[in-house]
Amino acid sequence: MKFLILHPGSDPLATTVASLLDTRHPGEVAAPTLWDLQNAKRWSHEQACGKTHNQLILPNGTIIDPSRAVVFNRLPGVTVTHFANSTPEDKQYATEETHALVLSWLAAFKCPVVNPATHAGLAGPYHDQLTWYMLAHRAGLPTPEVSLSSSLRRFPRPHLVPVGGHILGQQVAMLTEPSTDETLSLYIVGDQVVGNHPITLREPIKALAKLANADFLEIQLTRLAGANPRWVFTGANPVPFHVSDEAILALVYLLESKLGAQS
Amino acid sequence: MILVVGIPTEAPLALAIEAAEAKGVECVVFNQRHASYNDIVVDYKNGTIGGTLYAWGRELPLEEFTGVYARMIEVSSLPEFKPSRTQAVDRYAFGHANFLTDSLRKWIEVAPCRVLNRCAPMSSNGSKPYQAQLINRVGLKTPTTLITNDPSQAEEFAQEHGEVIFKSISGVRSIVKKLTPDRGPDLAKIRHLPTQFQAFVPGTNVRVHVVGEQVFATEIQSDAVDYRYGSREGHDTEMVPYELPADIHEKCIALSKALELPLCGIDFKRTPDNDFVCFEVNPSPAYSYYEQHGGQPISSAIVDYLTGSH
Repeated sequence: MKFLILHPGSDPLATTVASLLDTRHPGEVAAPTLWDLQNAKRWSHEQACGKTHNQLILPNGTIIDPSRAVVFNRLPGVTVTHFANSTPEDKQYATEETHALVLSWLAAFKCPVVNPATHAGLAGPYHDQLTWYMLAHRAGLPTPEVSLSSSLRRFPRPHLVPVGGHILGQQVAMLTEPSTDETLSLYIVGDQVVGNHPITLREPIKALAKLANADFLEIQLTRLAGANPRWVFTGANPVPFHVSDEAILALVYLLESKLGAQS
Repeated sequence: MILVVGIPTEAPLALAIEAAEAKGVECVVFNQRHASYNDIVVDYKNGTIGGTLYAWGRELPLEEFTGVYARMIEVSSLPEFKPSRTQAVDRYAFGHANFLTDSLRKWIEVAPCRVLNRCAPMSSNGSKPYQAQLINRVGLKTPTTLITNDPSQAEEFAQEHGEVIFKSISGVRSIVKKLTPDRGPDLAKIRHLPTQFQAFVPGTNVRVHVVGEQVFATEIQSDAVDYRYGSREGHDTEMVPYELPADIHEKCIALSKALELPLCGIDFKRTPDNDFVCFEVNPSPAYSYYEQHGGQPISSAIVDYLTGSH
């Protein structure tokens, strides 16, 4: 097995990447789903003397050994399916336990992983918006002004508008700079920036991916309204669902190049 | 000026507030139970974060806090927002408290001041074996561990190691139990959910609290498998200050930095041959239990850290 693609099930991107890789490397691709992991014939995750040893045998008998493979990790989280008749507390416990095991299993991989698991996210970094904005600013990307306000009466911010529409009365709100309807979705795939983007933002976008420790990241840009319209960073997602054909091909080449670098 | 966030009657917060008062440090207490009566604005612009906390008639610029000690709980767990037979939850107050708490948490996550502790790094404790890998990276030993859904492998592990304990992999239901022969039939149940087993480590429990660069170790003398729950099983527990070997002392500081947890409680066993085996790092330690029984000035160190005195 040269490529291990981990995904939650119904994931068109994972399926497409697996299929393209299988065409180019017949019989060298395994693409187990979360269900396969949860129903594995054998899970063995051992830690001794500072070393970790894994053994995973899927329900169909496939032995998963990623030590010489490249992993495309599309597991954004864990939901358990085989505790349907349990109490909510037991189901929650099973979910937490499975998540904890999968995180440790993924973190123990010595092979290249796109994206590596950390406690900030199973399939790459999940941050809240302010954290992403701080990271983006450090990377040199322009970001919009934002306010989180529990009282617009006490803290008026007349130059900002509510995110997601109107606010009635004094309800709490997230406010930001007025924007146009123009948005761009682009992808960082390894060192490549795929998709239309202002050329001046290319290097900062790459720098953001490095700061976030992600090889694969969807970036959203929005053009602000007003006298000086400019593109600003408005979000990032390590597990995008719909991805352009160009980005899918770039992903396949990235995974192949990581395999080449490993051998 | 420091900010303490949570429920101020909770012992760790209460001790820190008391320590701040004793040192003459201005300490703003944000009681989560009063969140619906207060307000916040968090402003972000060009990489700078600021804002104002409006609490009990005072407008407190967030930039003026030198440090934050947060032990926040979910708003839905607060007594004010638990539905009862006679009173429905005030949905407006709940929404306000939830937003305020969430905004405060978001500010804490990126605040330029010292924070004990930010939320994201705390989640490393959500997976014990994952955290064990991070613990190993600073050169500390962890117990021999097996997570399996194969009863025969668990039996082999138990035979190989003699005494074996089992405990949760995550932070939920984290009670340690010995795998005794009468548990044998239960092993079949692990088919449904992989379970964590560890070789029992004999020796004395040592809890280490790191606060910035300061280290406080407490030796716990108890016969219980899990001394935290020892009283439930009729075991007595005694705590005395302990001086760590220099290399373990340094590795504790390195671990606290690596995990981005300037305040943490690290659990060790000191084995009969004076080896130190690390079990886990608690990112929100109830240090008060150890301070009150062991006498170390941990709350004072917390206040010093938050004011930048060390």
